[in-house]
Amino acid sequence: MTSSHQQANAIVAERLHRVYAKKGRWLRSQGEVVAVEEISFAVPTGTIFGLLGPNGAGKTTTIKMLSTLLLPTSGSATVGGHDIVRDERQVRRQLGVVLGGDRGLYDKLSARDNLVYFGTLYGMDAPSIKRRANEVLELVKLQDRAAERVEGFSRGMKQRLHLAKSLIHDPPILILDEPTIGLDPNAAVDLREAIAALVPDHTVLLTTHYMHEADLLCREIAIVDHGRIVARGTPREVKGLVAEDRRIEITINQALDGTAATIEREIATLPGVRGASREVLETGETRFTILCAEPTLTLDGALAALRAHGVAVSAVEVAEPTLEDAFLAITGRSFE
Amino acid sequence: MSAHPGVRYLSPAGHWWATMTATLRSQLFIDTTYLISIIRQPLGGAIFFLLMWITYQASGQSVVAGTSAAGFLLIGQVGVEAWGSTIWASGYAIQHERSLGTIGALFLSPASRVAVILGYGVSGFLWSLPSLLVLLILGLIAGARFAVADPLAVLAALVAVYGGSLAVGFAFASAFILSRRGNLIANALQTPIHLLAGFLVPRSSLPEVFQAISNVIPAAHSIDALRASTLNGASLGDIWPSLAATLATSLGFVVIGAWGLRRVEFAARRSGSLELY
Repeated sequence: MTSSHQQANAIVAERLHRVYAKKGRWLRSQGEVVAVEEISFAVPTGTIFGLLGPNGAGKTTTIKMLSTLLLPTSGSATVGGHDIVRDERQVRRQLGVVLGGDRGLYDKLSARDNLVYFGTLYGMDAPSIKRRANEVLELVKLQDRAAERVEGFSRGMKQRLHLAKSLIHDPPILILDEPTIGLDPNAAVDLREAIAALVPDHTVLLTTHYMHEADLLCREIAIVDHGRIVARGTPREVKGLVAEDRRIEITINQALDGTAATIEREIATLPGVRGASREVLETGETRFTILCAEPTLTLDGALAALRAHGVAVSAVEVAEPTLEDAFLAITGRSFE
Repeated sequence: MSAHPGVRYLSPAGHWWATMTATLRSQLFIDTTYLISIIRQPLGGAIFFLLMWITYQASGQSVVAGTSAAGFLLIGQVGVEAWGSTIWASGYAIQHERSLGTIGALFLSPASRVAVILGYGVSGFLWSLPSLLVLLILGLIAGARFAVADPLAVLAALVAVYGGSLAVGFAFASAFILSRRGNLIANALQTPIHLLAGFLVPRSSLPEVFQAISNVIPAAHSIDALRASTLNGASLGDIWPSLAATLATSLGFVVIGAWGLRRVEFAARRSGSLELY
């Protein structure tokens, strides 16, 4: 890892590897699980980089290692040019971190008091804390609610306060773990706007399992699955992996019970199909998503398979591929 | 370090002090948001004092270790309060941060863990002051009489009682990082410590092996000093051996705490259990 490489990149991970011991009852060990397998990537300074993947892919483990909360089993990484194991204190000073989840704030304190406390933990003087608190509250649009206790905040407001908290000491590098998870669409849009406004003054490493979010915000992305990076590049480049393909969505307006898995398997083995998945919609309908090179041929085959099982189709849609489709094509399975 | 040119940072000493006082203020504010806690705090100590006093009265002992049972218990109860407020406040600091989900943010900051834990401990001390006032009134009603010859000795002994308890609480803080159920260890130790430290019965009445064990508890020595200076008119010169023993044992616990915090934080980062609750 050269120093010029480190200067151009705010975060550099090289073959980061993390193994957890699976704990049984009391002190018994039940073997090991590889959470992150030799991940390497670099985040250019002043950009937003997305780590994408389904739940359990290894995103959070990766960012916990980068933020010094977790030691890697092997491999190395630098944040702001500092080694995450040897120079943990310097790394922490460079970083603002939003960890996933609903907690992480003092519910009985006001939004402003939370920011003042965390600013103090970072060693800022009182006038700087006061000024920065006003700035970040304005950035996340909470200035009118600053004096209210956090316990009365909605999840979206808490997430925005988390972002403000991570920014209070104005770190050059931010790590945001699933910042919009569980938010209603409007709150998510507000938060994404705030994140987009952070560059180029800050470097942002973002984990998400919302592909459209990564598409909107990130200059580069890495798709993580089962602890490994399976694709990397700009969103356009990753989508380019399936540029020649088409996505077919077939919606079934009936319960499929045990036949759904069989139908999915049959569709997945049709000629030209790169991946197939199914999901049950909130309406109770079942939707099959198919990624294929020859949509006409595949559609004929899929409809024939459905008819053979006595299933009537209620809607069919053929569309351009998305990042989800890229994931489906690369891993052969759905993102969720 | 910062992308923001206007952010100014405190000196290391200033950062340490600001962290301690900010933690103290925040915890006091949080504690006082619950009305039930404000009521319960002095009530618990008062009930325990009355229970012990009635027990002594029922057994026909009005004089304990050369002083009135009420006076003996009143000072012992100061030890109980100091132990309860500081041990639980400082030892429980880590578990509390875990429960709130703020421990990750705390450990990610460059703030001194010692300053944070001390902030919790001092807030616990301030939180116990109303209890001490209620106990003083109850003790006087029950017949406690003071014989103070050297107020400075009383102050020094009182500081030693709280300082010694704080040191043990600091050592306990690492147990709370190591185990998510560290409170069970502290719970199990609480009553034996009350007995061994001589809060409830004179240490001289304990079996010899227990008396020997009690020597490693800072509060055992500082309570001796507080009783001597408040009830028997001892001067600073008279109680200095007890104060020195408190200081020595407290330093031992502080060293264990500082070493333990560093070790268990590393262990928690290695196992990935730091943020689990």
